[in-house]
Amino acid sequence: MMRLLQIELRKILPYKMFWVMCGIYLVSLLFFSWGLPSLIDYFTMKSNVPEIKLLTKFLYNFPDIWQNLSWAASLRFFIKIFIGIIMIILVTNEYSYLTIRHNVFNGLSRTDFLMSKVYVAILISLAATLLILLTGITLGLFYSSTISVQAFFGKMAFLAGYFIELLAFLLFSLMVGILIKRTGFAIGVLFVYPILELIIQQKVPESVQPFLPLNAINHILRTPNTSLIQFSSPEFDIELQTALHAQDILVALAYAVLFVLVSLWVIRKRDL
Amino acid sequence: MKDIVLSINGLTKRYGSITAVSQLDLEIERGSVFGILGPNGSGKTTTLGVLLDVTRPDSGSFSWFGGLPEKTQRKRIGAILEVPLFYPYLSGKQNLALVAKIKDLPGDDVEEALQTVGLYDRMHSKFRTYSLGMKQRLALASTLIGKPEVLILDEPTNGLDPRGIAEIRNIILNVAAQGVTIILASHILDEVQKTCSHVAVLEKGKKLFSGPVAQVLNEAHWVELAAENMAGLQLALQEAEFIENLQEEGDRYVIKLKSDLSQADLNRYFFGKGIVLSHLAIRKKSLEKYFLELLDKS
Repeated sequence: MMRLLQIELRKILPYKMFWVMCGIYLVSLLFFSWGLPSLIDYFTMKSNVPEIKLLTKFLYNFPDIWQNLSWAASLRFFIKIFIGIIMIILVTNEYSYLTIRHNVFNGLSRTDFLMSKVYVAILISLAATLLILLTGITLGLFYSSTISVQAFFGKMAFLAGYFIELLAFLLFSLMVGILIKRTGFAIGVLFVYPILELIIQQKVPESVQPFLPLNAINHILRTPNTSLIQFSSPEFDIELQTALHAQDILVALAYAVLFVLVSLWVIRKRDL
Repeated sequence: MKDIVLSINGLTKRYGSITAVSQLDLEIERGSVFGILGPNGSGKTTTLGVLLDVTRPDSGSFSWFGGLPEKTQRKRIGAILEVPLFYPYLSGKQNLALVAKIKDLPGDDVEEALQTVGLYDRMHSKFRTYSLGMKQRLALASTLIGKPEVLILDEPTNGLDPRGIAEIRNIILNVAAQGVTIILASHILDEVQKTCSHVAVLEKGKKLFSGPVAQVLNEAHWVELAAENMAGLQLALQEAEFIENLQEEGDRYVIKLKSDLSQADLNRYFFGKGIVLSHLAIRKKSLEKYFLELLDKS
C-alpha cells in the first residue's frame, strides 16, 4: 500500500493543476464557511433589524460547528464537486496521457492501478476532513460563545461522517472517470448526474428514493437541526438530524464498495 | 536445450469484425534480437500489447520466462509501446524515477540510462518540452532501467532523423551484445535487416514466416550467367542437375540453385563443358524482396 501511495504522490505532488484546484477549493471553502456568513451579517447590521440574528453569533458555536461545517461542505451541488473534479482529473489524465498502459506494462497490475487511485481517494478525503477540522477550530475558537472540552469534542463524530461521505463520493467520481476516460465528459457527468438523479427520484417509489446512489451517500449528513436552522415545529414536517445513524453509514459504505468493484471489473476487462 | 524467453500459442485478438492477430504462434530464444516485421496494421502493436497485458486477447496464451508470475516478470522486461508514454508535467528524470518506483527498483541507474541515450543535459526539463526524437530517447532510456533481460521495442526509431536512427540502432546493438533479448517491431525492413538475428513476418495478423534473418537472406540464391557462346550455355544449363528454375532475362540467364554452390563451383562446371562465362553474379536476396514475395503470396 505504501509503495502504491508513493507512486501516486510522485505523480500528484509536482502537478500544478492539482494545486490550482486545491487552491480553488480552499478559497471556496473559506468563502462559504466564513466569508459569506460574515457578509450576510454585515448587511444585517446595516439594515438594523434587531429580530434577525447574526449568523456568526450561532453558526460557529461548539459543538454545532462540526455539524454545520461538514454539512455545508458535503452538499452535493456545492464545493464538494471541486474535490470530485480533482479526483476525475487524476484518473482521466492516465487515460489521456496513456500512462495507464505505461504503468501496467512496467509492473503495476490492473488491480494495483485501481487500488492506488482508491488510496488517493482516501488520502484526499482525510486531507479535506482535516481542513474542515482546522477551519472549525479556528472559527470556533474565534466566534464560539461556549468553549469547553465537552463542547469542543461534542459533535466531532460528524467529521467522521463527512469523511465517509466524501470518500464514497470520490469513489463515485473515480468510477465515472474510469468508465468515461475523457476528462471533459467525465466532469460533465459529475455535474449532470446529480440533476439526473433528482429527475429519477420523481419516477421511483418513495421507499426507493433514499437508496439512489447520491441520495444514499448524502444521507449521512442531513439538514442539521442545530442553530443553523432553528425551526422544528409540527407545521414544518422536516426530518432534522441531531446525530449520525449507523444505517446511513453502512449504506454509503456499501455503495463505496460497489463503486470500487464496478471500476475493478471494468478496468480488468477492458483493453487499456 | 533451448532457453525460451517467450512462447506464444494460438494468440487471437479481434476488434469487432477485424481480426488484428490470428492464431499466432511464436517462440523467442534468450539472447536473440527478434524482429517482428509487417506493414502498418499487421498486428505488431496488438501482439506486443497482449504480451504486456495492456490488450486482452480473445483466445490463445503466452508465457514469459517459462511462466513466471506477472509481478516478477515485469521487472525483467523493459518496453516501449507505440509512442512514448510519460507525464508531460514531470521532468525526464522524474518520469524515469517513477518508472523505477513502479518496477519496485531502487532507481540508482536513472542517470546512467539518461546518459546512454544522450538526454543527461536535458533531464530536468519537463517531458512536454521535449522534441519527438527526445521523447523516443527517453522511452528507450526507460526500458534500460534495472537492466532488464528482455527489451520490447515497438517502432523505436519512429520520428527520428537519420542520425538519431543510427544512434538508437547502436544503443540497441550494444544492449544486445550484452546478452539482452530484444523484441523489435518495425515496418522498416532495413532496420530489421541491420539489427535482428531472427524475424517473424506478419500480415493482417497472420504469421507468414519466422526464422533466422540469415536464413532468409541466404535462402535460394539466384545467379546471373552470360557467355559469349549463349547457345552452348543454354545447352549446358539444360543438362545441369543443380538448377531449380531457369529464366532468360535479356542477354543473360538467371537461374535458381537447388543447393548451395559457390561461384567457383559454377565456374568449374561450365569450364568443364567448354564454356567460358563472361558474366557470373549472385543475386543476394534482400529481406525487402523476400518480404514483398511473402506479401504477394499471401
